Parts: sequence; structure tokens; C-alpha cells
Amino acid sequence: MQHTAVHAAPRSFIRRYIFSTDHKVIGIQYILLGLFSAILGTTLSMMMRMRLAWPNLATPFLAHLFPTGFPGGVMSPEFYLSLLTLHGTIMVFFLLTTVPLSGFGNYILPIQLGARDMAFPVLNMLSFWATFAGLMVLLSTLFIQGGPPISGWTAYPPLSALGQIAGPGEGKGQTIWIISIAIFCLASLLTALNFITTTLNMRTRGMSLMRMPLTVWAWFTAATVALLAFPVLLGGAILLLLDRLAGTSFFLAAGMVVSGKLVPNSGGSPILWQHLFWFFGHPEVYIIILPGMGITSHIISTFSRKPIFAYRAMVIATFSIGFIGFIVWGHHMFASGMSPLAGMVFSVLTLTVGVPSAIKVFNWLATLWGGQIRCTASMMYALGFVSFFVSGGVTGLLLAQPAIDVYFHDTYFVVAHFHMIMGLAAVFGIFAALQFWFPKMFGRYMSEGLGKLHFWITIIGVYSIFIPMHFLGMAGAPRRYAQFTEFTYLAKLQPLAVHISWAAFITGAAQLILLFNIFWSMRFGKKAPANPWQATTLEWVIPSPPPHDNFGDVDPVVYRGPYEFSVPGAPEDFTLQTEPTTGGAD
Amino acid sequence: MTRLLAVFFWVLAITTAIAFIVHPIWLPELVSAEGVEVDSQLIFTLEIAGVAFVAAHLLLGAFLWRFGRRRPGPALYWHEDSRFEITWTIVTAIVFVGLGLQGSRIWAREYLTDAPANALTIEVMGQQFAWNFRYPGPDGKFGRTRPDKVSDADGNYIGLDDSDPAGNDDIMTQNIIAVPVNRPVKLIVRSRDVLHSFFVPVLRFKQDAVPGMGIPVHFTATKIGEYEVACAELCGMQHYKMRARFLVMSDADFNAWLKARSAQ
Amino acid sequence: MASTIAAPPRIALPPQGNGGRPDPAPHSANRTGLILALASVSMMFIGLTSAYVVSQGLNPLWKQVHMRPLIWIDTAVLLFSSYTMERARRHISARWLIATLLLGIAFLAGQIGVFAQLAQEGLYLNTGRQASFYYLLTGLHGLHILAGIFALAWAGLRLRRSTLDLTAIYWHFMDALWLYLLAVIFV
Repeated sequence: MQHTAVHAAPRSFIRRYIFSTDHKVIGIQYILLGLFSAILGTTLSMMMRMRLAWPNLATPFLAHLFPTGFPGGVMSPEFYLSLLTLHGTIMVFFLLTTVPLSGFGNYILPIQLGARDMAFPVLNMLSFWATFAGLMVLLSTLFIQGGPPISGWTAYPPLSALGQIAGPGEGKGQTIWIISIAIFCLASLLTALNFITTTLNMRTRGMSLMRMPLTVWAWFTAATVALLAFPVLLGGAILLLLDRLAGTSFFLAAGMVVSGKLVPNSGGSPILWQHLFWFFGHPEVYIIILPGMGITSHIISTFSRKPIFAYRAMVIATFSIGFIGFIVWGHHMFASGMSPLAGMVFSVLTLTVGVPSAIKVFNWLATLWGGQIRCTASMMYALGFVSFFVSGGVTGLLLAQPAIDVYFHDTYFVVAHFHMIMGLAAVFGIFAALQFWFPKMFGRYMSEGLGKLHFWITIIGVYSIFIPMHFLGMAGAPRRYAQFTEFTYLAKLQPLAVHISWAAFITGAAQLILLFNIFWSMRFGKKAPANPWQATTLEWVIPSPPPHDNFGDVDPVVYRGPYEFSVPGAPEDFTLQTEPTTGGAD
Repeated sequence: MTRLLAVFFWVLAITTAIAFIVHPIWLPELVSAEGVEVDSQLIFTLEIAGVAFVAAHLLLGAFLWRFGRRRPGPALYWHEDSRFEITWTIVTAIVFVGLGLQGSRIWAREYLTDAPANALTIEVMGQQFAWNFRYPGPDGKFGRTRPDKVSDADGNYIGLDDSDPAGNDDIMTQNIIAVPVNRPVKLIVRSRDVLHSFFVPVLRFKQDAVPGMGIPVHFTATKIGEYEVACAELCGMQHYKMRARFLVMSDADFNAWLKARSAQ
Repeated sequence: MASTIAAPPRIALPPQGNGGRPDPAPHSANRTGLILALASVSMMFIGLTSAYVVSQGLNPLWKQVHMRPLIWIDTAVLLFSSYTMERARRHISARWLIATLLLGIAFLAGQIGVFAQLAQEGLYLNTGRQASFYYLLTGLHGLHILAGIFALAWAGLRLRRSTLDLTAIYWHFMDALWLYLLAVIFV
């Protein structure tokens, strides 16, 4: 079988940059895929916000690109629904599940463990290209007759299972969507396998489990959750595909009359899909956020020049979140017709999972206490993560209680809540990781000035979008509405919708600063040394950028924990993990 | 710049708190008896959430302010403190789980108990893209429905089976529902096709309409007026305009309204 | 920078990990990977069998597919193939491996035979939910057996202890999975 070390670096362009098995190249490929997805997903959301603010606006340019979606030059409601389906799918899967875990994890995890590559490099390459294929399959729905599906990223049957008669895009578009998701499931499973095996089997000498950086713990836990959650989505997707194509009735009840026709199916349960989907879907959001938490711990420790507060508690909290995250899925289904008793159980469990999350926030704050805080751009993004995580997390206290949730469910309150956590916290985790590890990856710093400028505009911008959105939810504005014009109580909210759209446009435009920073710095950034941040973990003992086999001929040996900052008596305010201890008699 | 960030977090905390206290846009008026304890639990939880949000940001800002300036000496090598850790774990657990148990009691009162015996029963059946309502009429019984009897052209949206005499006095409406004030009402929520969700913001609840199921939910309306019903589960391209009028009337007005409808 | 006069902290060094170098036992990584993959496969079948149980709960009178001799025979074939797999593994024997492979093919043939019988009874993938689940669960299991047959062929080409160990784990797991599915569907 494959040995990961002692093979010469590949020479040809294709083997070096396209079909590479080097975890570093694959990591960057995932990050670029994520970047492309982010650009696409953000563009879709800008189009959505445009329609919400001005439902009757004629947009000739877009009508030219998508003639079926813009009859008479104005975006149709069904096209709006296609946009939101693609926006959710692209952002959740192809940005937030890839970049923090498969992107940065692939690049950094082996190095932080002292390994030369992942356990299964060829599988790693296949994972990436499968993910890429999944994205291409998804995007193909934009170019087929009928267009993309309109059932949201959650694809609830019967709407998603009935085929064309349920609405536009519900023909081939929905089937292709399911196939894209199935491909993504398989790719993610391969990645998860790789991460877990590498962490268990390929740590260098001295790297015990309790000396692993919190980033590794986060990736390891997220990968374990992915390994166990994605297969259930795959199972559900197979059932949905069979309902659509093979005439089965897993999710389709008897006696439905759709578009005037009696549908022949019988005996299935639409709620069954919701159980299967959310059994995956809730752990999925922890897969999304755990790496960001690990990165935040790592960066706050580094730039406070202090060990992370309560390392052990952080590890336990990480695992608890991963574990408890598997038994709370019903909180997405309080209004679904699920048993009310089950609702009570899910509610208490959901509030329980808030406890380890809160502990992490306390630990981050305690890490700052007494620190010598250095205000780099990555530190600012990490602090932004803390802020967004708190903001999004506290509204969870409301949504976890079914008596309250049956008001807020499917309103903009929920949209605000999950955008705070996923759209903002998780994305700021990505920004932080980018700014932090870019020097290692490319041998050059990203511009600190542009990073800080981007930080300020974005944090002010996104808070201007999403705090007001909570008020839309308080007023009872339902989500997935193409416009607010048809209800008296909603039409009153139009000015707020317009404000949110403007804030979104400005913040969206500001992301160009980040794009510029990334690509300009790759070529022209200030050259970076091996350890630009004076940090302690193993990625900082090797050159920037690292050689093909990471550590050269000499395996690193680890003597210390990962956050030995400002150790009393040490010559510097940081001590590398590879720094030998003086041993000897007490 | 650390201090600037500290100021930002303070401003954020205070502005957001003010926005929620002043709340120019807020919950709609409350028109249900059961909603009183929902609203009070909602506000109470919001207050706790607000305190947590503000406190976390004030602390974040304070620590950044105090420790963000270069000062002589190393950082404090302090990274464990069991007293702190145990205390904040226990306090958080008590607050969070306490909220959960309290919220569950309210939920149980509404959803684990049946509607009172004198409740007026109304059937709600959602379809793409309208709300159908059915009153049982003087015999108090709903007639049988069959999906193969559905005919939109004939106005038989719910598929009433005319071979069942119990259905002869059923009163059907589309996109308008009326209830008498201060009387318990039981809804049986159904769907003819895909998922919908029957959402009345002023009553503070919604119930998904699932084909193949008839899901009961009950409420008591407390204020006469006209309100709106919205669909709150994505059901297709006209999801955004699946609107019904929700009328709360005095007993006399309600009976007259129902009589007028049954004559049609 | 003032420094306190203190000895640097002494940290005992337990040897951990395997060096991240050319793994002296590379198979350990492969074994971990296989077990994780089987955990994944388990989760998919757990998800689908829970869907089965829930669907059944919604309508208890739904039994369509009945136990029959061919399923008993097929099960015996699969169990016997686990025995031959073990012999192949312990003796690194190509013959026992071929026997396992042939038994695997026989098992699949039996499965297709059951499908044919069901078709004669008017039961297809889309004629009722229990039939749908039967086809789906046994079909997915069959696909995994097919993958196992390819793995057996691959193992046969190399006849290495480590490969046979891993193939055996996979094969026995599929056996156990089959028994689990039988229990869910027929008990």
C-alpha cells in the first residue's frame, strides 16, 4: 500500500497542480473551490435581495442571461425560489463544509501532527475532484430546461418528490440536485475517513492526543461527525430519488391532488424525510462551525501570547458539541406534526448543547485576560467570530423552546439566527484562517492594512444586515417569500427590507477588497519567514511555503503542548512544541 | 486598533440593546388567550439572551481595552482555574436547562392537552395556493372526503363525498375563516398536496399541513378584528401569496356569518 | 523583559505516535480506514432501517414480502462464504479465496432469484412500501457484496496477509449486515 514519505516530488504541471496527491495542493484546491462558490453564492444572494427590495424592477441585463426566469424583464417568483435553493446549497455545502474542514484542514492537519501527508493521499485527490464534480453537476441545473429546483436547500417532499407537476424546476432540476448532493456525500465521507485515520495513526513522536492543537481536535471531531452524519443524508437522497423516478412512496402520502391530478402514490410520510434530513442537517452545522472554533482558539491564544484557557475543557466541549449535536435534530421540526412529547425532549437536549458552546466563549474571554494582545487582522477576524457566535447563539435560546419556536419557525428570525452563525461566524473563521496561514502557504503575508479595512467594512456591514433582520422575524415575516406585497402586515416592513438590501449590496461589494488582497498578495505580498507570528505549533518550524514532504529528512519530535506562550523562565514569549525540555533531576 | 475594536463591541452591544428595548418594529398584537404565556416566555428569554449578548460584548471590549496596549512584562501564564470553570458551567447549565423546562411546561399545556369539549372544530386544508376551511354545520360532524372527488372546476376543493349525508350541512369557504371571540376553537390541519403551514402571527402559532395527516391544534381568540393567515412552509411558486383572511367576531355576528355562508 | 528565575518546566516524554515516517506497519492506517468506512456504511443502513421501522409503525398491516426457502439458502451460502473467507485468510490460500468469491457470486444470483420470485407475485420496487424497502435494502447490500467480490479478486492477485485480513473484515461485516437486515425485515 501507499507509503506517504520518501517519494520524490512530482514534476509535471498536471501532477503538481491538477491531479496532485499532496495534501497542501489539495487544501488550496478546496479553498479555491470554496472561493468560487462564495462568489457565486454571494452573487445569488445579491440578486435575491434585489428582488426583495424591488419586486417589480425590470433588469434587462439579467433578463438577457436568464430569459425564462425574467418574463417581461422582471424576475419571476419561481426564479427567486431557484436562486434561494442554489444559494443555500452552494453556501452550506460547497463553501462552509469544504473550506474550513477540507480546505484548511487538509493543508494544516498533517503538518500540525508532524506527518508528511494524509493517510490516504490518492483518496484525498479523489475527494477533491468528486467535490468539484458535484459542484459542476449542481450548476448544470442553471442551464437545463426547467431550471434549478425551487424547493430550497432542504428539499422537503412532497414538493421535491412529485416531479414537474409540483412546479418549475421540479423536473430534471431537482433530480440533478439530488445527484449532486449524493456525490458530495461520498466525497465528504472519503475526506472524513482520511482526517480521522491521519489523526489516529500518523502523529509524530511525542505528539500525544493531549498535545494536539485545538485546530486538530476540531477537524478530528468535525470529521467524525461527518463520517456518521453524511451516510444518513445519502440514504435519504436515495429514497427521494426512488420516489421521483421509480414510483415508490417513501415520502408521498396517499390521496394527494396536485395540479388537479390525483397522484397514485400511497402511504408514505413527508415527515420521514425531515427526520432523515435533519438527523444529518443538524450535525452538519456543527461540522461547519467546529473548525472555526478551533481556529479561533488557536489564533486568540497566539495573539494574546497566552496558552488557551482550559485546554482540556475545550477538548471535552468540542467532543460534547459533536456528540450532543446528533440528538437534537427535532428542533427543526417542532411545527412539523412530529409528536409534541418528542418536541419536549429535543428542546431540553438542544439547550444542553448550548452549555459546551457557552463554555468555549468563557474560555476565549479568559484567554484574553492578562494577555499581551497583538491586533493582527487574523486576530480581529477571530474576535469577530466570538462576537458573531455569541450573537447567533443567544437567539438559539428562543428557537430551542417549541412554544416560542412555533411562532418563529420559518420566519426571518431563523434566517437571521443561522446567518449569524454560519454566514458570519463561520465565514469570519475562514477569513481568520486565511490571514493566519496565508504566509505559510504562499511564503508571503496578506496585506494587513487591506485585511483590517475589509474587516471593518464587513463587520459593520453584516451587523447592519442581520440585526435588523431579527425584527422582520419578530413581526412574523415568513421566509422564502419572493416579495412582501401580498400581505398588509408585511407590506409595512418593506422599508426595512430595502435597508437590508442596501446594506447587503455595500457589504457584498466590499468583499472585492478581500479578493484583491488574496490574489495581489500571492504575487506581491511581503515575503514571510517560517514563523511570522511567533507561534508554537509544528507548521511554524518548517519553511514558508513548505517543501513537498513537509519536514524533510528529519522527523519532528514533540516535547510540549501546543500553546506554550509566555512560559515563566523561557527566553521568548513563545516556545515551539519541538523545543526540548531540559529533563534531568528535579 | 485593539481599543477601537473594544469601542466597536461596546457600541454594538449598547445600540442593539437600545434597538430591542425601543423596538420600532415588533411582535404583532396578541389575539389569543394561550399566547399570553408564550409572549411572556418569549420576552423573558429575550431578556436573558440580551443580558448574555450585552455582557459578553462588554467583557470582550473591556478585556481588549485593558490588555490591548503594549505593557512591560510578560502575559499572564494563567490557563486553568477549576473554580471558574465549574461555576460558569453550572450556572450556564441551570439557566439554559431551566429555560428549557419552563418552556416545555407551556408547550405541554397547549399541545399535550386536548381542546376543551365545547370547542368549535374547523377543518383547514391547504392546497397550492389557497386555504380551504370547513365547518361541520348543525350536525357537528364532518362529511367524508375523497381525493378522487376533488374538482376545482366545480368548487369542490376538498373532495367532499356527496354520498355521505353528514357532509350535506358542511360549510366550506376558501381563503376566509371566521371564529367567535372568546370561544375555544379546534383546528384540524390538513393538506391536499404538498406541505404548507398554517400561520397566524396574532395567535402566535403555526402548524404544518401535511398530506395524509390531520393535525389538531387549539386556540381561543380574544379580540374582535380582521387578521391575516400566511403560509409558512415553502410550497411552490405562489407560496408568497397564499393568504387567507382571519376574522374574529362576536357570537351573534359569527352565527349570522355562518348562516349566510351555509345558504350558499 | 524581566524573567523570573525558575527552572523551565520539565515535561516527561512518553513516546507516542508512529513517527509519521514510512510506517513500519502501514496496514494499521488501512485497517483504521476500513473500520471507519464500515462505520459509515453502518450509518447509512441504520438510517434506512430506521426509516423502515418508522414507516412500518405508520401502517402495521403492510407485510408483503414473505420469508421463503431461497432466502434461507442464500443466507446459508453467505455464512458459509464467511467460513471459506476465514480459511483463506488463515492459510493465505488462493483456493479458499476462489471458493469465497464463487459463493459470493452464488449469493448474488440467489438475490436476483428472489427478486424474480417477487416479480412473479406482482411485487416490484414500486408496488407498496414494504416491497420498496425490501428491494432497496437487499439491493444496496448486494451492491456492497459486489464491491466485496472485486476486493476478493484484488486480494487474490496479491495474496498478502494484510490485504486478506482487511478483505476478511469487510466480508464478515457484510455477512453480519445481512443478518441484521433479515432481522429487521422479517422479525
